[in-house]
Amino acid sequence: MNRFAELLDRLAYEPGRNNKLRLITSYFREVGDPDRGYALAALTGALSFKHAKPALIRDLIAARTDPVLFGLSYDYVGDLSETVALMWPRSGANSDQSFPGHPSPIADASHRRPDRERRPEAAYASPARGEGAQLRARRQTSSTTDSDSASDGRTALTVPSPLRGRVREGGTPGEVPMSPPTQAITTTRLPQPSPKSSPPSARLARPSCQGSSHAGSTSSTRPAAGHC
Amino acid sequence: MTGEYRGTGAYMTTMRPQDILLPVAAGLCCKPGGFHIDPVRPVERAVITHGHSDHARAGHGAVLATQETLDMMRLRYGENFAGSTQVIRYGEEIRLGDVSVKFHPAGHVLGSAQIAVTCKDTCIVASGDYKDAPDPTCTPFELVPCDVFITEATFGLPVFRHGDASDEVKKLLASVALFPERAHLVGAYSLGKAQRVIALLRQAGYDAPIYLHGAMETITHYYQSRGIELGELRPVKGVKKAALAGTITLAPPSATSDLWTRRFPDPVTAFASGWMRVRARARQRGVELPLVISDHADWDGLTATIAATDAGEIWVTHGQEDALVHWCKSQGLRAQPLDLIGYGDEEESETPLTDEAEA
Ligand SMILES: [Zn+2]
Repeated sequence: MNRFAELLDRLAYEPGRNNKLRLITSYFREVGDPDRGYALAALTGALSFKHAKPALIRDLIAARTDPVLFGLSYDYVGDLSETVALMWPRSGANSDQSFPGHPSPIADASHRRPDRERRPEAAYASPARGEGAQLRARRQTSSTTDSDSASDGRTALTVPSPLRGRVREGGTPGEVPMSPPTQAITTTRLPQPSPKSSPPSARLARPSCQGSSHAGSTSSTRPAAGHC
Repeated sequence: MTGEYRGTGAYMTTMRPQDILLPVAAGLCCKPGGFHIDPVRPVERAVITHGHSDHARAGHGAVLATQETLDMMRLRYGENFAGSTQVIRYGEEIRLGDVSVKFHPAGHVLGSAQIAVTCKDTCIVASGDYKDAPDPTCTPFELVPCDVFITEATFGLPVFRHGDASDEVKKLLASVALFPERAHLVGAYSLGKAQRVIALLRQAGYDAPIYLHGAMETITHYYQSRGIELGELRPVKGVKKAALAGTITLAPPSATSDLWTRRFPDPVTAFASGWMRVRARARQRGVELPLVISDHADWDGLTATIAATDAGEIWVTHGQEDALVHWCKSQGLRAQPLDLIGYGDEEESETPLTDEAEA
């Protein structure tokens, strides 16, 4: 599903409607089943996440990363879903694996064992290669950020189509500002951001090495202010 | 200062590391050797790791550096960039005062070096900027075992994992194939990054002419003069708009967001940088095709390198010091942020679009 992740990234940054259509057309031509089926479901809003809640995502990442490093990273990136996706430990040898053949990769997302991506039988089960686990992590956390912002994850979530509304908005090709799909999931449905979801750009504008209170304990010789 | 450093037995009979190298306002000062490393202010004797402008500045009395670094300084600042110069090769050792200085490849850009400073039994490696990833345009990074390792931390957070640069170039080529009527503009820092992207394009089998923004020409031709194969390159200046459909042009990052881009047919703006890992960074720059290609080690590269040097003490500078210092301590290493001012990521300093320009 790497190819699908690439498509989503590209759609997110591409402002022109016709160019978006070209990207989508090319994807469905190029990629085989079942991956493009999952992709179609994702794009049309037919996937739902019953178990992906922020607390679960936080537990999963906490079990895999140093809390100080996670804190500093989250502070820098500014978005929970993106931070988790970027930090998610790699399964070294199998990074080129296929999308695992599985009856419902979404429905059981929360039951997946952390070592699932290392299962040998998962490799090459599908014609398209991809870091399925990573993509799912991204999907889960997308909806998590969503619920993180408003409902604290108490409700099951449906993924809205990243395309929905865009075609309408995209009537003037080349001028529609877009956010990436994960972002779109957050913002299109929940226009009022919680304090925790301040725009990443605002966070990024801050001096990045003032990241965390933990940092102060690392040494008495802090970098001079000018350094940041 | 005495008593502050509680070293192991090995150090107690020799010198404390900070007696050998100490951060001062002008940069990293080696008192027993009588020189500064990558000084940010004019000094009598400078030893310079590589040609990026935040490390290699004009106005020093004497400069010791690799041939390539000296050449790049000459190209940027003119013939009289220093009172005198001295060339040192990788692997060569030179005695300066009470210390010996040895240069090792840093894998960052052409001519970039780590500088090993040894005094009595203590060896400190100032690695400058470095990367442990393959790069067809420069000598690969060499691991130098040492007692104290001074590391950059430009991408010192676990979210920064650069992946394989050749995969990013494949993305660029796929886009060129999909949009043959559009021009592709690739923002890339003019020293090192641009040439690496071109070389990767050639490795991927792209053999059409590649166009260059005027600001790219001098340094790129210098790379070619050093035997780096970059294929056919053409200045983009004066080329008709329609003729640029389906082509790739390399430009400094700042140029990809200004009026200059109007000369291209419906350009796809790409940007080659390690910062492209984070979406907000790509959006800030209005990039349509982020390419995660970096001159710096990523988190995995930094931590793997630190561990492999076998150094017991790590000094962390320019970048995300806190996270890397924390990681070092969690591995049982002594570590501290190094208070150096004036160094940044050259991509950022070339394009001061954000408050983070100096970081
Ligand atoms: Zn540099």
